Amino acid sequence: MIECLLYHNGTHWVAHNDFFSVSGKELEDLDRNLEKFLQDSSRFRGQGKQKVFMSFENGTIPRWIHQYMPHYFNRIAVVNTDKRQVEEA
Amino acid sequence: MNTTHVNKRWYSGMATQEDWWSVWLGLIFFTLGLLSVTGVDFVGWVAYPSKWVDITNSIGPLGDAYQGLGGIGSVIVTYVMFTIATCIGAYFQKLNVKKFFLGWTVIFLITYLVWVLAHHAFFAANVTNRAEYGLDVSLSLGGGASYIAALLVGLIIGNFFKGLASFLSEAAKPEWYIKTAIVFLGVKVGYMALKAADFVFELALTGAAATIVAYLIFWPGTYLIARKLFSLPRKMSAVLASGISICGVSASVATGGAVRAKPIIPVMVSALIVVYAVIELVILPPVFTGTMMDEPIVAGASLGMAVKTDGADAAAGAVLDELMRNKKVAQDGVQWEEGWITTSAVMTKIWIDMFIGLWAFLLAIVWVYKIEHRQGEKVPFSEVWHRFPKFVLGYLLTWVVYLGILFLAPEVKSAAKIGAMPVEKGMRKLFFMLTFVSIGIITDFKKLAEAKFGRMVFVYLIALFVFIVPVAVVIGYFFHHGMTPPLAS
Repeated sequence: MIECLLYHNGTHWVAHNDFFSVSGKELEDLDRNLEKFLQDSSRFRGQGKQKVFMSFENGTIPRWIHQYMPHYFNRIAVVNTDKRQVEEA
Repeated sequence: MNTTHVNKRWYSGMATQEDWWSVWLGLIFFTLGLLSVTGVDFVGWVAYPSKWVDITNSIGPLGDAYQGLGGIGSVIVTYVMFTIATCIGAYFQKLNVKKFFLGWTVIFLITYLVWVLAHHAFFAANVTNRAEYGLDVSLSLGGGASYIAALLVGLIIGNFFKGLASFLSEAAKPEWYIKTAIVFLGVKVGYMALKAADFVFELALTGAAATIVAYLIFWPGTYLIARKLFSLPRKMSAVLASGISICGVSASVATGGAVRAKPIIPVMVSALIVVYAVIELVILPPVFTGTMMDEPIVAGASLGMAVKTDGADAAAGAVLDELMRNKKVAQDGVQWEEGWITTSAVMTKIWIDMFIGLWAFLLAIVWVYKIEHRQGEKVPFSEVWHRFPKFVLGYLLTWVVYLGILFLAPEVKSAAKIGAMPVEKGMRKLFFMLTFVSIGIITDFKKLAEAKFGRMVFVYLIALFVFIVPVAVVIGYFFHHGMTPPLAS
């Protein structure tokens, strides 16, 4: 399981941790770009299907709203870190 | 990684979220109150106003052991105790503690000033007791006068003194205050159950049933109004439907997350909800008092289903409670016990709140897998817990503990009541008052005129007053018909 944080910067969804920062206009774009990044990364590639747990940074939501609901959403994207290697092979 | 505002573990937010801090604040004073079973009253210092014509008799401590404090002394002790407690909460919530302290101090002073002034017998006395104050005429508003005045003062600050409102905003936390008040309400419900266990059980059960029916009717109806009549986009319609039909801001944010909407959508809807909630709070209690005197619990439960945000709902329930009880006395000379109508509004709302996590989870499943067909995504079940309203745990705990004492240890019942009364009466109503003032401060009606809300304003207006409120009354009637509060002893 790869863990990262997720936020929306006004135009793009951004997933990031200490090792990567990947963005996409829609969540589908984000997942696609993340998969591509992981396939290209020497740190992550070749580990088969991986779950990426994205915890939403609720600081993205204005502070005054937190008193009503302090949680937006977390999600898990399943990405294939092998795909490119398989295709290349 | 900065994980300050991230909910990843089951215990995330326990020290930093308002919701959890309503539990901690509520339980601290609940525990102090409970210690009265040892024979020592630790909470009787709380200052509570009485009806007055001579201002020197307008306020005093609730506990017999603290009568020596006098009015001013009890206000000072109340201020010190709650300032320490709330500032510790503000520190852990990472608020600006200095700004919170200053804002809290002003809000506290405004609250007590309004609370005392509105208890003048001209406003608060009714037909049965106005003669005691030498009056021929009074408005018979009871404690409702205080709530209405607190809201008005807050609204005046929020709409005409925006610099002051901004200064106070760090401490204007209606949801924190009302959730704390609801934890205190658990104490009252606990020992009210001794008097009328069947009634409490029926209220809880029918409240749950009404909630489920409301979910299944309100949400699709409002969603269709937004989609078919106003052609709003699908995600915005879903967020708006939850906000209008379920539980306001919390539901719109939960749904925004469930349907993976860009955060700006629930943020816009939330800004609209807080304004409409205050409009409901102002309009519905007097309308229900004027039209539903024979069905007070139907009226209370209808508020629980119709008024969005916990603060506005509980506040509307409290106003309705005061208005209906005083009207009943004036009409028939019958005195209903205080708190049952408020409880019917709050209990219905709590059921709605508890279901929101599950509702949003199911919505996320449908949205992700069926509507957007994202096969590479999974929805974690932990989402249900992260969206669960934690203050409900405090409410249930205080309720169950007092119920347990009264049924299992009746020998300490009298001692327990000494500590329970200042909590469920003085502290609960203080936090209701703080909620009223705070709601007013953060409500800016000008926001309604902002063009960016566009059609949402009209979707809200039509869905609320043409669909939600009438259906809420019908559902309330179906489940609570014939229930009236027990008579005051």
